[in-house]
Amino acid sequence: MRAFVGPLGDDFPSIFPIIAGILLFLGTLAYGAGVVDEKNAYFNTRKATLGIAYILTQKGTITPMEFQSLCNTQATEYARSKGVKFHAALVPQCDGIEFEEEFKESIGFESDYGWCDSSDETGGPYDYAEVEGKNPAVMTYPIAVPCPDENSYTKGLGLVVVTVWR
Amino acid sequence: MALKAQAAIFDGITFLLLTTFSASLIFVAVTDYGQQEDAVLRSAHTLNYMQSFMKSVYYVNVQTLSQVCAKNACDQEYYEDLESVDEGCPSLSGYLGSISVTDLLKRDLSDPDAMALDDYYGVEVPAKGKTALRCAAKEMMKPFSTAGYKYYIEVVNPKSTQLYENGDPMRVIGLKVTNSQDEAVLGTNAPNPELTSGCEEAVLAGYKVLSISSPFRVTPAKNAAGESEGERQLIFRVCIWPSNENA
Repeated sequence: MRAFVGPLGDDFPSIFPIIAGILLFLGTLAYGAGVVDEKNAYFNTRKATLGIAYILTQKGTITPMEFQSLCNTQATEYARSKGVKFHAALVPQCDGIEFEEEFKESIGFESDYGWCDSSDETGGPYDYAEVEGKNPAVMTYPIAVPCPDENSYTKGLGLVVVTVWR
Repeated sequence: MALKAQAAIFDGITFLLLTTFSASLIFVAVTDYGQQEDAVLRSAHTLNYMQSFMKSVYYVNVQTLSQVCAKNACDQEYYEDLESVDEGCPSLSGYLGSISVTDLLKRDLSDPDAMALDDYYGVEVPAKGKTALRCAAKEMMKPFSTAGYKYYIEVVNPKSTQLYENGDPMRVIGLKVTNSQDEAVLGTNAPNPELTSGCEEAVLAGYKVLSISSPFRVTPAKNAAGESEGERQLIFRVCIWPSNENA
């Protein structure tokens, strides 16, 4: 009976590992849920990028006027349905493709051949320096565009650059 | 009572150990989560890119490819001859503005006697379809080339819908339409290198090959006897795979 300090007192040291275990478990669950949500959000962003790119490259060739029309209607509608913001540009590369290895260079590019974004739907204009920090998905696809200028009859090399973020 | 207290703390530590084990399992699951979806999205992007490439070459006029090596150097070994004024991309400037890469490729293939990608229609008339395709691929596949991917483009006579043993490739004389220098892919040591299918050889060499095909109808010209094979339903195929060839 000398060591007895009451029913709670005797079990008191065991409370620390139990609380530590509960906190560790709950913390891990919260962290795991956060990571899963973040990954899912990025997957959805990439899927939306693929969808918008597919809309814009459906024919293999596009004129600046067609691009602007598709971009302002179908692409914008698609982005709204997926809950994402986007920027798309039609970039002529008539003398050879200059691929931007640094993806940030492609974000918000205002091409002479046409560009559009979802700012009308979501209250832009966007601060593209800020967009860079939002983990955007940037995808680039080849397409035939009028070359050497936008009124040319001949078709040359071009790129469609699509940037999507949340 | 001291024994009771020891049992209680033992329970507590056991609980902590179990929790730590569970937490480590959760970390492993979270780390692995989405890897398959990530792989699917990557291959979807690659296939979408290849589709865009394939659709574009039906429209890109060969004349516009004459500047390809002027702006971006074609000095790699696998782009041999593309800088040549007489044989390479600059030589495409002489074609009419209405001729697309695939138009010229079909002309190159439609030799009267034996179909071949040799930059000639028949024996003497230049039809630089293969060169035009090499110039277009050099530029349009650049994002993947710089990322370490290799491509191979071929025209085959289909036998099945499978990538393996998919048919007889059309004969390619001289340089092939690829940025790979792997001897297995090029068929350097094969009994008949001109008739080697690079896509199939890449699969057999163990590469993870992605492939896109489209129907490619070619009508061979009549031969000296006035006979023609008639329309041929071929397949235009682009293959791509990650490689560490240049590493």
